Amino acid sequence: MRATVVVWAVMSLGVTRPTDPMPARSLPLRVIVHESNPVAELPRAEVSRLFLKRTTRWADGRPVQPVDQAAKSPVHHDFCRLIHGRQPSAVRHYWQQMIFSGRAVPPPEKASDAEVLAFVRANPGAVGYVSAAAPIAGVRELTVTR
Amino acid sequence: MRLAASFLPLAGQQGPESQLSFHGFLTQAYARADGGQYLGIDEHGTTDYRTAALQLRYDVSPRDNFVAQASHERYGHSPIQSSKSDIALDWLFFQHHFGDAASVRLGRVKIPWGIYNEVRDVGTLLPLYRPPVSLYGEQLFTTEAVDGMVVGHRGSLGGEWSLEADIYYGGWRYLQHDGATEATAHDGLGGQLWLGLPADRVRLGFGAARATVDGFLLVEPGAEDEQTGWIASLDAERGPLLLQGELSRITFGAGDLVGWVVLARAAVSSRLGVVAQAEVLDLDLTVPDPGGSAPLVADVTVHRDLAVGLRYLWRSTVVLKAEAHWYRGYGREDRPTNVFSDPPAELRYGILSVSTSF
Repeated sequence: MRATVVVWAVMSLGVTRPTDPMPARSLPLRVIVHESNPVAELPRAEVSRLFLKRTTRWADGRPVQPVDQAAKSPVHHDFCRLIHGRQPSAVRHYWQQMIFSGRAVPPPEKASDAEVLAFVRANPGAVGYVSAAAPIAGVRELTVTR
Repeated sequence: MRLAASFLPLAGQQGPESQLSFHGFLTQAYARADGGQYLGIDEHGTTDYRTAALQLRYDVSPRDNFVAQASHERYGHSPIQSSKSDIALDWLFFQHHFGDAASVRLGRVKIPWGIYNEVRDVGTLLPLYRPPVSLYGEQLFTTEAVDGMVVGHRGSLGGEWSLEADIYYGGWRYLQHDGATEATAHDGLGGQLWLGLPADRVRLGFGAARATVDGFLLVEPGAEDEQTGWIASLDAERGPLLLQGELSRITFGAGDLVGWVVLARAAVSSRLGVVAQAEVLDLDLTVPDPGGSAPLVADVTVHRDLAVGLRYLWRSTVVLKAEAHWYRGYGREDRPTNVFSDPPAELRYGILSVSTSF
């Protein structure tokens, strides 16, 4: 995992081309969307914006429906660190600010990869993430670029 | 709290499947002072010191929602306690989003003012028990909520730069320096800007407001007072360090108040943090002397508070804090002091608190 962090840190410094897809082995998770969603790839920062509800519409106009994993899950920890670039506690802090200023509430949390997959299959605007080992039949994987 | 506890299982059930969501927070403290009573804290100590709130949110659609929050607050032995009800409506508003960037909120809305005004009672977000009194005190011109509207816009300025802007219009009420009389601000107009820098989690803020105030104690009965205020903020977090600094000025007919605060927090581990804070509020006041020909003039530091504290993240939703304060000023409650003639009082106080939110 430390090697992954180093790779990520180097990428963050812009040493590699900004639109390169993130190497699959550097992401211990898969970002998934509904199979009807035409979007194939997004920059990491834009994926982060989807989950922080800063972007609320897909390019085709459908509302974005992010779905999160349980705060204690390892995949949530990886997602916060690699996609948001923050510790889970910092992401939680962000959502508390949003909640108690009345601006927004966090995405619904699901307890497992299977529940996230079911949610994404059922909602055309959904975006979620699952661990890299999870089978993703019935949804599409989004390529995350740097 | 039994009511709040009964809603706990519903937390986190919001989202597309559920249009109704509940959130809340609670901070319970024990506080004790040495050398006098201040902020409701006396030498005997008190556990009647807490903040709590329950928030209900109903999403009519992804772009439209209603939000209401009721709060409960106890100030120990403070005379403010008799002027405020135990339970109050923090806010109740309708919010509509225009696309990703713009929104309007109508009703009673938290005023965007500095770093902490919108979350001033949420213990899990605050470095210490309360935000700095010099800038967010109960008896200042600005208050927690505006009855009116707030128009907001959030967007990118290109690259990693971002800008958040809120403009509000309406009225509000605030408790004055006597701790008993409320003033009413109307035709209030204000705004808050936050500039996000390319450096991660570094932002600069500037807010300003003006209002016409009825019932202000330092003017003739029946007269109105024009009051203005501004606040400048730095909020930066890099690695284990958090640094915040704020400067504000509030101007009223008889003078002005200038407050500043510097706060630093260092994470010793993933759970434990050390906090240090210094805050000052200076008063420049000139009022007619009812018994003499020359006006009464005060140019004093009415409030200086130095604090150190420990903050321990026990669980992801539970924060424990221990803090010690050294205070010098005119806010002593058991023996009021006169800013025109008396020296400031000095005392110490400490607060142990536990905060949670859901």
